[in-house]
Amino acid sequence: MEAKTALDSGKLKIWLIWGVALLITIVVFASGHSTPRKYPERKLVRFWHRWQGDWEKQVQKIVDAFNASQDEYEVVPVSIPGSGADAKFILGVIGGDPPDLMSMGSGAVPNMAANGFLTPLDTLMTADEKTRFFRDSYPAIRDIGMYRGHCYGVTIGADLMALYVNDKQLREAGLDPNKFPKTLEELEDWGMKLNKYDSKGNLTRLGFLINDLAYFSHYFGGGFYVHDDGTLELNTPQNLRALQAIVDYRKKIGFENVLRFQAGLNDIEGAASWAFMHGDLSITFDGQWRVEELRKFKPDLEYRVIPIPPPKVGGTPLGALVGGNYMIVPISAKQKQGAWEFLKFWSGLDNPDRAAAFYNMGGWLPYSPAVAKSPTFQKWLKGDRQFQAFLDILASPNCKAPPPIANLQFLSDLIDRAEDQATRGAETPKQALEELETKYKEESAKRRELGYDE
Amino acid sequence: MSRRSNHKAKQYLTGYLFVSPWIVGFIAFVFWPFLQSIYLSFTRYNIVSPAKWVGAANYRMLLTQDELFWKSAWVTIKFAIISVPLGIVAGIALALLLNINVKGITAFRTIFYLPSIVPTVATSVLFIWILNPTIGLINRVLALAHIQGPSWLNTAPWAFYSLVMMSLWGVGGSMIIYLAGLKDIPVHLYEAATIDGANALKKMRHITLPMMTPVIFFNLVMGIIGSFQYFTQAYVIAPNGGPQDSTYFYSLYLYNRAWKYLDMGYASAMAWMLFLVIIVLTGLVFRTQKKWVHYGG
Amino acid sequence: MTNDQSPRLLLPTKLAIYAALVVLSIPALLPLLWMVSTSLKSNAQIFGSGELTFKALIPSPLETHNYPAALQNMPFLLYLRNTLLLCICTVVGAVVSSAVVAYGFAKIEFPGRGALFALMIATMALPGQVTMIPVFSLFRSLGWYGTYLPLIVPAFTASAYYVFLLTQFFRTIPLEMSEAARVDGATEWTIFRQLVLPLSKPALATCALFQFIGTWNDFLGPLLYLNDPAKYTLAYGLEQFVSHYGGFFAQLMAAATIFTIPIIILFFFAQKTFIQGISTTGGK
Repeated sequence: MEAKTALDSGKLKIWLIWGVALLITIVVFASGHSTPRKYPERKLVRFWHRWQGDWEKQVQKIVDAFNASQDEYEVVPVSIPGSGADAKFILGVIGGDPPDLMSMGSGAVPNMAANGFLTPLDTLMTADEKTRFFRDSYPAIRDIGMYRGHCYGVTIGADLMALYVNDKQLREAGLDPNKFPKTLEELEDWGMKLNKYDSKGNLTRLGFLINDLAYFSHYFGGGFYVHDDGTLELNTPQNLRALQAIVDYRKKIGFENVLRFQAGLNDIEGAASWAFMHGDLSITFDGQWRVEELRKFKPDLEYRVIPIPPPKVGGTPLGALVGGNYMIVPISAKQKQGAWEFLKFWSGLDNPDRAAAFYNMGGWLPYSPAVAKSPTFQKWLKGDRQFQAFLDILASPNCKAPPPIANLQFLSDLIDRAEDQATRGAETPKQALEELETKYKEESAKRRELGYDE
Repeated sequence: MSRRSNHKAKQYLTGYLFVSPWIVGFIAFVFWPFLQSIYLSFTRYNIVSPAKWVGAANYRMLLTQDELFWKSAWVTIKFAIISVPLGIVAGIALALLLNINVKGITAFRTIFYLPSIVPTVATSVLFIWILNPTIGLINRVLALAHIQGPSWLNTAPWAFYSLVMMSLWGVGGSMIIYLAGLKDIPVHLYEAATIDGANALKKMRHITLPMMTPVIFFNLVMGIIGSFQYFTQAYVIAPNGGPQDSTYFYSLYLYNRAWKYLDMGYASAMAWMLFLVIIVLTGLVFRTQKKWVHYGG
Repeated sequence: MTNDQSPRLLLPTKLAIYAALVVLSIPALLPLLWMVSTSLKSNAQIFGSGELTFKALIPSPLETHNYPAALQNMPFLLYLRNTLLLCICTVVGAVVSSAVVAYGFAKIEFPGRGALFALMIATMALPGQVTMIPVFSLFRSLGWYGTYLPLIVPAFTASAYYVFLLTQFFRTIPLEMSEAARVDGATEWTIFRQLVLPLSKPALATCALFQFIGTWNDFLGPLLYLNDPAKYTLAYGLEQFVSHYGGFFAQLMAAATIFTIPIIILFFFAQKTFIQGISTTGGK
């Protein structure tokens, strides 16, 4: 009899524990405790983005400015950490609970636009706004968000690349940075002179290196395109010359040498680890956001920014491929108009001078020359003179947007692979590009067979 | 007669009752998503628009028109063949070592489990540091023996072996399970053996290892299931598949197909092919259970 | 009485054992040491292209400001509270439900047992990438999006991994014992509660530990199902630190260290359960 009561109390305990835990589960956590809103009476505009840390603070300032400037909408920004961001964005939309405005990387947008996932922004603009937007923006910026005639994304954070040159190291090697090479071939010569080796023959400093075939091909009058009618511009003579130039230069230094050096750069994520900043690279090819970083972390570095000199033959000066973060509005967003108002505010369509301050906060490229020429922007430019080079590139007719195809991500990976194979000597440039075109054709055929549009 | 069947019925019912939490969970959270996933594998589905039926097209394309499918499968199989036995041996060896009751052993047990709990963000950066070709730890040690170490992370096949090395760091998890298994071995068996005059090695062969077989079996099965789905470290170190696709694991290719190219139908087909392979292998291992796993005291 | 190998060891053997332990500890300690030492360095020292020797592990100068900075940049206490609540709930749910289910599989014979067990193992063989969307839709249609429910309730329905593990342990308990109890008229539940559970403490503790760490480290769950910053967890907070555009690497390591320390402490003290595993009730 005693045993029985002992059993019962044991049984009771287990059920109690499980019951209490389940209770906590359902009662406490099913109810929400949410962050309170600042302007609860206004219409809510939900904005998801991927900027972290310091940059998130900048974004918050811009949002605050917008909220203070009008009283119809309240924008609430949410920062989504990088690694799961794409999945969360997608799930948010297909789950029926999308944000009203999202920032998304370039590669995914054409695919989403092609499948009706996004709101064409031109439907949110007034006729006047539409005219002004298409007239005023830099051509490349206007083109990036386009897909089959409609604008789906506006980029506030466009990315461009140019040469960063370490003046001091050049002078030490007897080269005058003020007489910078005008052709790529001369630049390569300088690069070889700037290389430094240790006693065992390993590279300790790299004078000059180009990678990123997709970008570089624009300096050769090339570029990787897939046109609406299906014609491919992949394995072209211009692209071949571009890849050949990259590979030949590496051969001069030695494929293995370059690989070892690159692995040894200790180039971990984050600004403070940038090899150029630490003198491991004399001349390097990088993005406009580095200007702000250099100002923050190494203001005493003597450097300049120059567009890459084009090759002697068939070169197109100031060529570039724009990339970056697009702002898009999902098709099922609830507050589309509010999203557009915020986007207008941030980009500076109505008030370029006010928006200039926003661009400067993050070292971002302006969407139009009007913003660049505004007094606020010009003032900032004086402190960050190097940025001018990027503005020049942005204004050039050779500055292009990536091809608006649904399978852009796949193509980008193929280009990377071709470049990788060629630059480690596993394939010749000709083979690499042929393989690229073949693989892309195969994939396109597969997609068409499965019923995709392209 | 009826009393007996009544008793049996009661036993069956009790059995089901005990297992019911899992059954409920399966029906509620697993069954339907699995069904949907099978369905999706027969469709063209790019997440942003509705799925469209294409029959076995995905499977056909995978097997006949996708070079990367075979490449990534091979990378994964290679990895499984190497890392599973390695992990088991290392785990058992460590557990045996840590089972010895010397002073301070608790601290050592914690130390050996540490790599499993340090966040990935720290360990990945650490490995890039260690594997640095000129000044990293490993190559410096090799240099002492006058060997010029390779550029580990961006040359094939060294990138692959770097990942194998890294997987060993996670042996702490299985080590814990082996430790728990060791603790379970009845003392009187060892006592009887000592009386019989057996030495340490004999004890190991005839008592320890056989008594550990249930746990070894567990780690073997989980090792197979885990290594075939190996993804995280490969994704962190080389999301595009590594130098010449040498670290393009099957799950990484699946992930890229699913979330990078938004080719979810195709990725689902990939997943179910992997499922079949794992099931077959696991089934085979289960079949061998009777031959070498020792239950029931 | 424990079942460790004989505690009275000869000195040379003892030394050999310690030597092995120390040598093997070095690679094991490396991740943690590196993480902590980086968190105490200045950015200049981290990225100055210096020698990567063991000396490099010593921060000079020692900078402790990264820790308060890291704590300031993340609502640490809030995240800690959320994470602890999630951990406790999932540990209780997982251990209790998995033990119950494992007992059913291990100790009771019923038709379809083998098939169900095989089915359960099979559920681990499908990569989660492709069920992510259906599962998400499921939780959405249940109305659980935005709450903690998707992160907690599944724990109460037993996980295949723990059930499999516990089954293996339960099956090592001699059948004669449970048979004897059955003859005495005890119900299955009694046998489970009074006989099997106490004998399986190491295994149960292992499951509890793994589940705690799993929930503690889970980033994907909160990412997908939570939208309100007031509900985020530590793992999510750490991920937010991993930024492509920041220069605060040392601070990231400080955050990572803060994130790891509680688990280390938990493990260190939880070990006692492993050691005292063997029950003092007779038989074994």
